Amino acid sequence: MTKDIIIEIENLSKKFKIGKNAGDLRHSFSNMFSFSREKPIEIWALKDISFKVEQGEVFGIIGPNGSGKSTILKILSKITYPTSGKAILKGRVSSLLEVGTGFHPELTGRENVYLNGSILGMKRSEIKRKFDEIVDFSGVERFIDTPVKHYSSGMYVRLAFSVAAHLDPEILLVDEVLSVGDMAFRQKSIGKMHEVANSGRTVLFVSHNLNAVKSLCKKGIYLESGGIKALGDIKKVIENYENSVLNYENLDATNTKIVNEIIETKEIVIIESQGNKSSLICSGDNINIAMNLLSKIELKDIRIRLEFKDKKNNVLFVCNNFLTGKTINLNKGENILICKISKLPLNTGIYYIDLIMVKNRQTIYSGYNIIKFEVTSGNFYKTGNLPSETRQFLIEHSWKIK
Amino acid sequence: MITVIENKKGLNLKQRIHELNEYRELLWTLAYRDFRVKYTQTILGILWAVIEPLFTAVLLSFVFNKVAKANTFGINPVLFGLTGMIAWNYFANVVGQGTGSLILAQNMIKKIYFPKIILPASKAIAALPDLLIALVFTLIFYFIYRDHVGFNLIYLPVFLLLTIVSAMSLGIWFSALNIRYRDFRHIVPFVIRIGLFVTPIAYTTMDVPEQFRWIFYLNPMTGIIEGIRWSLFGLQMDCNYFFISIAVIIMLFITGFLFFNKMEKNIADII
Repeated sequence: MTKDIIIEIENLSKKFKIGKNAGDLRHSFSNMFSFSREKPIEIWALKDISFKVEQGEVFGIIGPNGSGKSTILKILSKITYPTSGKAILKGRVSSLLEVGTGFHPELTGRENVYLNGSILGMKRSEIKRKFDEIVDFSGVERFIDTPVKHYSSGMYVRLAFSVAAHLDPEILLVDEVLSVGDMAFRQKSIGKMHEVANSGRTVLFVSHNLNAVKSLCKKGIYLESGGIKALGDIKKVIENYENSVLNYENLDATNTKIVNEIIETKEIVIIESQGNKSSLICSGDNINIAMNLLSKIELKDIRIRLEFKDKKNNVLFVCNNFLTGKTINLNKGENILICKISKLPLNTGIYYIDLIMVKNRQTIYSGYNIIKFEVTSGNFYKTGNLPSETRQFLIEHSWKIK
Repeated sequence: MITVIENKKGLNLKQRIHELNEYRELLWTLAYRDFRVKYTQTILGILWAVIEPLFTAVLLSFVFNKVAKANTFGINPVLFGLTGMIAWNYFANVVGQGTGSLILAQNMIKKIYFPKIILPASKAIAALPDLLIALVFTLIFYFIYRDHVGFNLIYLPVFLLLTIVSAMSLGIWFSALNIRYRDFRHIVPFVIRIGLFVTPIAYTTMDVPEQFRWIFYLNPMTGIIEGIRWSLFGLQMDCNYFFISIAVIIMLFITGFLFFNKMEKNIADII
């Protein structure tokens, strides 16, 4: 039996422009009058994507950072427009791209439910009808007439999610919202997704969490650099993804996946405390991660992120120049960039690093497993003692009796 | 319900209006939010809606009537100033708030689809209670000081409506420009500050030399405020000049809608 096609995507492409068009009048005027106008560099966030989703399906979209997963959802929810191609959606669409959008801290829970509901496209009468159910589901009945600025962050998120979960869409777009709230609530949320799917409606689920995707979806796609790498049965798609990206045995520099050609990494190495290149580090060492980046254009104010991961692809921590407040501008040509980490807090084991660069919120470089390194037992606590290998992190601490 | 998403050029007016009608509740909700938030945790609350224009009117009437000796045609100078000030105050608020409305709501814009024109437009509604309260106060003042009330008074709502339309249109214009060129964040407050003096709030355009008068009427609020004076006090109004202001308002309204529509597609990408 064939079911109705509810989402049909045909040759969908999306182009972004990156470069010298900063948003002020000075640039516009100088662009208008100068003849040597420098063309902005174009990036295809999506290129010729086509797939179909049947009614009642929970359809998974997986793939690494910057592969275009979120761009698909943004196009389907009409937030951004495609450059070419089209998407046909049969039914009311709502997205859970972010819960709590439009919540105002000064307003009460009750007012925010109405506000958020109508922002999400519900009619007032509809919110009224579902109000009790929404409040029940959130579990914040007692504080519903308190301004939400007095809520704990958990309560806030629960109320916000509850509104979003009570939309009645025929097509639901979900982007990793299952990680919000506490465990009990997450169970509720997954339950809600099942409920939506079981009632014959369609869910598009974008996630990094392969286990969640496996348990919720039957079909899906694996995206990479804006194109479809695998399509169909979710088990095969996930297998394909794992083989391609998470293939640790054959890991080398060629595994780098680059989103575009603006930046090239000439060399990335770890320099240990003695000043030598090494991929064998003692825990507790001061290390420098040195990157030689070759940029085709001058790039102002870019965000560079190093994600440290364990063997199972769990991100353990990140180093990000945005977090430390350091502005990084890259010159045209070679740039040497160094990220210094004092007292590496990792226990013995194998680790990987992803390198991601973002300009104007657009990923311009995404390198997966660009470095593999091993940590061996070092003298972290200056006692020679270390916890067992199952404890991944080492934290500097001291004890005192008073 | 079938939605087709593709990169279409041009404007489907019927579809746009239908969509705006679909989202009208959001317009009210956003306006309600702005209004609520404006007066939470204030002691005087909505009284501020009267205090602000009243004090500015007193100040302006002092400057223009006592110092510069502008003619108010025997009308109490404070009442005279207040009638212009309530309309100007509303206009300045809506245009100022409207300009930043898209940037302030960028979280919403990047996560949810809705007709974005609602954001600057809702500012015109959020400021309405303030306008009405200031208006009631002014009318009380008016009925106390005025022994003779003319028939023209029934036209007052027309001029208030024109105030709303012109404020909303300019708010829409500037909000769209501000997305592309953040310079407007600095330009708009500056223009509003100058507007306070080049708009005939505490004087009439009769004091302006004839050959420059048309320039004043390019400011939509000039025609509106002179119109308000005409309806309240029966002051003479030159229709030829008045129609310059009306033409400007209509033009701003239409071009604002079209320009916003052109920008709207890319707002989420460039904000």
